Amino acid sequence: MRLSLAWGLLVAAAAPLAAQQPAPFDTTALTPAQRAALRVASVRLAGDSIRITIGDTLQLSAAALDAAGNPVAGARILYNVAGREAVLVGSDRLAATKPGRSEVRGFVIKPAAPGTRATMVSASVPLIVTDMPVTSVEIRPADGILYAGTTLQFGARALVRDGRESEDAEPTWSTDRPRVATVDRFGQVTGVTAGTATLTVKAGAVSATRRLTVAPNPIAQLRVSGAPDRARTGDVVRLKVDALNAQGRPVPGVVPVWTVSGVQTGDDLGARVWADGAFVAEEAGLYTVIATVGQRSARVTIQADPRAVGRPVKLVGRGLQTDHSTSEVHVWGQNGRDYAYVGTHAAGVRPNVTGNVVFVYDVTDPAKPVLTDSLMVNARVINDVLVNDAGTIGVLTREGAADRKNGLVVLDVTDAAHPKILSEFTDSLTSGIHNTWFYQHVVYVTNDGTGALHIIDLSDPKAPKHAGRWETGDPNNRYLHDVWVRDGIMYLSYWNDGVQILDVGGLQRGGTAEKPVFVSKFAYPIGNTHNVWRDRNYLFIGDEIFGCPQCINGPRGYVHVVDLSDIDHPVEVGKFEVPEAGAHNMWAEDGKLYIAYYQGGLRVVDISGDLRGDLYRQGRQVGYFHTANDKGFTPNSPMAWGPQPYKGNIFVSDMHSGLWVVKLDEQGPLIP
Amino acid sequence: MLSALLIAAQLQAASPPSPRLTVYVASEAVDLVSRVHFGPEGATVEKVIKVDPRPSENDGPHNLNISPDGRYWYTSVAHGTPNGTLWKFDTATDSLVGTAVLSRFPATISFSPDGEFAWVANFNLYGDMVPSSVSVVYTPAMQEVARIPTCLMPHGMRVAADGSRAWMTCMMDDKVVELDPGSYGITRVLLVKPGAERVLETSRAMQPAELDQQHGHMFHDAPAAGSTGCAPTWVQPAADGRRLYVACNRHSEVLEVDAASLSVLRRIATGKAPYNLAISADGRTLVATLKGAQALSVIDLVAGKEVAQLRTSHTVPSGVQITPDGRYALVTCEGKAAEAGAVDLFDLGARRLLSTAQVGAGAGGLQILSYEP
Repeated sequence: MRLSLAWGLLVAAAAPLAAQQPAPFDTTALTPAQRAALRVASVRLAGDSIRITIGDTLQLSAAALDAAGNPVAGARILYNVAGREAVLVGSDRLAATKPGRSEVRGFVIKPAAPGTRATMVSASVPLIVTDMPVTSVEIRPADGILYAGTTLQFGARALVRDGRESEDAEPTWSTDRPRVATVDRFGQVTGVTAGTATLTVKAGAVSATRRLTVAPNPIAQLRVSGAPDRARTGDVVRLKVDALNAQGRPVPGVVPVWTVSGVQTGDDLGARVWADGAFVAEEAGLYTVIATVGQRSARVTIQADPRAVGRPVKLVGRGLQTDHSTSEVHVWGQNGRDYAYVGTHAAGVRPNVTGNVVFVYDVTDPAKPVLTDSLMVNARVINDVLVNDAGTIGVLTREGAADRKNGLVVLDVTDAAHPKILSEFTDSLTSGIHNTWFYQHVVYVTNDGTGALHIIDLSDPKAPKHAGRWETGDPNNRYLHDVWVRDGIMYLSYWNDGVQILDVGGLQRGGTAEKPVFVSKFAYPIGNTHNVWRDRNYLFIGDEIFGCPQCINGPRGYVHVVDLSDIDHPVEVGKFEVPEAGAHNMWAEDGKLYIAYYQGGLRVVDISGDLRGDLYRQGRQVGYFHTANDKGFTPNSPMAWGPQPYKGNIFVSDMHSGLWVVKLDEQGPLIP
Repeated sequence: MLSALLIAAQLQAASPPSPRLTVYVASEAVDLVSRVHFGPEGATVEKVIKVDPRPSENDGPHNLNISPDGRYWYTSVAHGTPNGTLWKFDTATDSLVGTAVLSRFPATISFSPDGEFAWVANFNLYGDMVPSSVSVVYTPAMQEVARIPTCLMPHGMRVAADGSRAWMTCMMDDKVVELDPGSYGITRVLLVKPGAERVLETSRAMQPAELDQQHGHMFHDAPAAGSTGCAPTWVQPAADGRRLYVACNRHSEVLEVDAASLSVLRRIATGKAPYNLAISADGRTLVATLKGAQALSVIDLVAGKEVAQLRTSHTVPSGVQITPDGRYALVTCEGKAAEAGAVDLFDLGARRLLSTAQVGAGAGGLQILSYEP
C-alpha cells in the first residue's frame, strides 16, 4: 500500500513531462548541471534489472540521453528505491536490507521557468534483493513410516553464512528412483512400491540427501477415534487414526491427511482440523472429519455446541481522570492494604497536559479508590510503572523529558501510599525507556534510541549501575518495545523483528540475569510486535497497528497464540482478534486472558484447555467492559491501556478516563 | 479543546502587537502542530493539527519549515520504529500530502531554492555515538534520493540561498560540514573546537570514509568524556552567503565564519547555551535562543556583540525566526515537565516581549507563514 502510494506520487510528479514541453526561459542563472538537464529526453539505467544480495552494496549507473539518444554530459541523475528492500548510501549507491522485489528509479529533474513546476524524466528497473547464499541445507525428517501408496511431508532448512535460516531459499526436491518414491516441489514424498531410494534437496549450490525406505502397504482398514459425543466451540478435539492390517492388527507409523466439512458461514467453514488430528469447531453445528491414508479413509461426525461462556462484567469502582491521559496500572498490596499506581501519558489531545505524574490510589476498598498521593517527574510519558515482588522498590520509565535526559526512576515504596524517588538512572538511556521488568537483582529496560536491552543492577537501589546490554545485531530492525520475564525466560518484543526468546537461567542454557543467551525467535510478516504474556505453553503476542487501512476508528492488531512446547521452534496455533479494535496490554491468570483492547475496552477471554484457531470466533470471549465515561479526559470514548486481575477484581487503566475496577460476574446470566 | 487554547492564548497577550504574523509551531512532546496568528487583537491559536501516527507513543514533530513558494509546510517526526519521517502538509488546508521515511531522529529541515529538495539532518540524538547522515528528499514525490553519511549528531541543516552549498553542524564531534548539492559529497569540514579551529580541505566532494583516510581517522572521533568543546547546534548563512554563523552551544558563543575560506572571523560571546539562530535579511541582526538562560540573545553583527538578552515567557527557548525586515523575532519555548509550550513575539527595536501564545508542550520548530509589518 505504502509502496504503491509512493510511486503514485512519483508518477504524478513526473506526469507533466509527457504532457508539456517546457516553455523557453532565461537559463543564465542555472547551474551547468541544470542546463544539461534541459536537454535530457530520457534516462536509461544500466541493465534490465538490478540484483543485489543482503550485506552487499552496489554502485548505481545510468545515462541521461537527449532526444537523439546521445548521452548528455553533466546532467545530474538521481535515484530512489520504492520499497524497503534497499536504502541509498550517499546518492548513487545501494545497500540491500531485506530480501524481496522492488524498483529502482533513476531520474533527472528538468528545471522550469520561475513560477512553474519542474518536470522529471525517469526510468525504472526491477530491483531484486536476495538473501545471502545458502551455506548448508538439511532435510527435516517426516514422522511416520512411508508405505507404498502413502505420502509423508518432508521439510528443508537452508542456512546462510551468519547461521540464520535463509529468507528466500527455494529448495528443489528429487528422488533417484521415482519407481520407488516420488517427491513433489513441496517436499511431499509418496511411496510407489516397496524398496529404497534417495531423497535429495538442493538449495543454491548445496544439497542434502536422505535414504528413503518404502514399505509394503498392509493397511486394510482405518478407524478414527477420540471424537466425543458432543463438544463445545473452541474445544480442541484430539482425533486419532488407527490403521489395521488384514488380520486386524495395528499398522504403526501411519500419517493420515485430515479434512473436514460441515457448517459454512459465508465463505468460511465453521471448523478446522490440523495435520496432527486436532479438530476445533468455531461455529456450532455438525461436522464430518475424514482421515485418508493412501486409498483408505475413515470418517467421524462431531456435534459442536455453542461455548456459552459469556458473562456480565460489572463496574466495581473507578478513579476517574479528567485532567490526564493515563497509561500503565500496577496493583499490589502492603500491610493489608492494596494500592494501584497509575502512570500518565502526553496523549496529544490537550497541549498543556502531559504525562509526568504517577497517581497513587488506595484501592483496599475497590469500590472507592482513594487518591493518596502523586509523584511528578521530568517526563512527557510514563509508559511503565512497576513494583518488585518483594514490595520494596518500584521503578517508572521516563520519556520525552524537557531536557531530553530520560531514563529510569527508582522508587522507595516502603510507604506504599506515598512513594518517594530513591534514585534516577540516565546513563546511556537518555533517549527514554518504554518498558521495564524486574528480575532477581536487576531491572531490564528497553532503550528507545538504540533498540538495545539494558540490564541495570539494582542491588543498591540508591546507586543503580549498568550490568549488561543485549541486542539483536540487526540495525534494520532494532526497535525494542517490550521486555517480559517468566520462569527464567525472557521475551523481547522487537517491533519489526518478532519476539526474541532468551534464557536468563530458566532453560539451563548458560543464560543469567546479567548475560542473557539467545534461544529462538518468532516473527511474522505483519510485524508491529508489541508485547507478550506466557501462560502454560502458550505465548500470547499482541500487535499494535496504527494507521492501517482498517484503522478508521482507531488502531488494529490482535493477539497471536503461539505454542512454545518446543521453545526452539515456536509455532503459531491460533489468534484472538476483535474485528473493530486494536489489542494493547494483557494479563493471563487462572484460565483467562485479560486484554485491554484500546477502543474495544476490556476483553476477558477463556483460554482454558488446549488452544487452536480463531478464539474470538469460537465464542471464547467471556466478557467485555466499555471503559468510557462522559466526564473522562476524552469523554465517551474507551481507550483501554492495561489490565490486571487482582483479588477477584479486574483493574483497568484507560487512556481516556483513568482507573477502572470491574468484576466478571461468573454467576451472572449467560450472555450469548 | 481549541476554544480553551484560544482563551489561553488571548489571556497571555501582553499588549496588542502591531504586526500581523501567522506561524506554524511544532510541539514535539504532544505530537501537535499549531497555527498561531499574532495581530492587534493579540495572539490566537487558529488551528491545532495532529501529527500523531501512533497515538499511544510519542512521535515527536521536531522541526518545521515552509517551502519557498509557501504552498507546503513540512515537519520532521523524530520517532518511529525505529526511523523517523518527514511529513508534508498543504498550507491552504493543513491536510497531509505525503510522508517519507528517513533515518534516526530527523531534525532540522532546509530547502533547495526551488523547493524541489528538502535537506533533513538525521540527528540520531539518542542512538549510539556513530556517524549519522543527512537525507535529501525529492519533495514533489516525497522520496528520499540521498542519505549522505556525515558526522556525530548532525543538526542545524541549512542550504545556501543560491543552492550552491549546504552546511550542517555536528554537535558531538565539533564540526561544521559543508556539502555540495551537486554531488551530495562533503567538500570541506570546519573543526570548531574552541581555540583549535581549522579547515579540512578536500580535493573533491568526498564521503566520510574517504575523509577519514585523508585526515587520519579524525573525522568521526567523538570528543573525550568531559571535554568542553563547541557543541555546535546551528549554522546560519547570511542572506548574501558571505558569512556563516555557528552557535557554540557548550561554549556560549557564536562564531562568525567567512563562507569562502571557512576561517573564523569573529567570536561573539553570548548568554548561556545558544541553540538556534536566525538572521535578518540585511545581515545586521542575529538572534539566538539561549537554552541555558531562558532568553533570546540579540546580536548586533555590525558591532559584533550581544546587545540584549530578552527573557522568554516560558522555559527552554528553542526555535527562533526573524521577520525579513529584522523588526520582530519569534521564539518557541519547549517548557519543562508539565509546563506548556509557547511561542513569543519580540519587538527587536523596542527589545521587549510583545505577545505570547501557549501551545503544546515541547514547542520547537517554527516558521513564519505570512507577515505584514
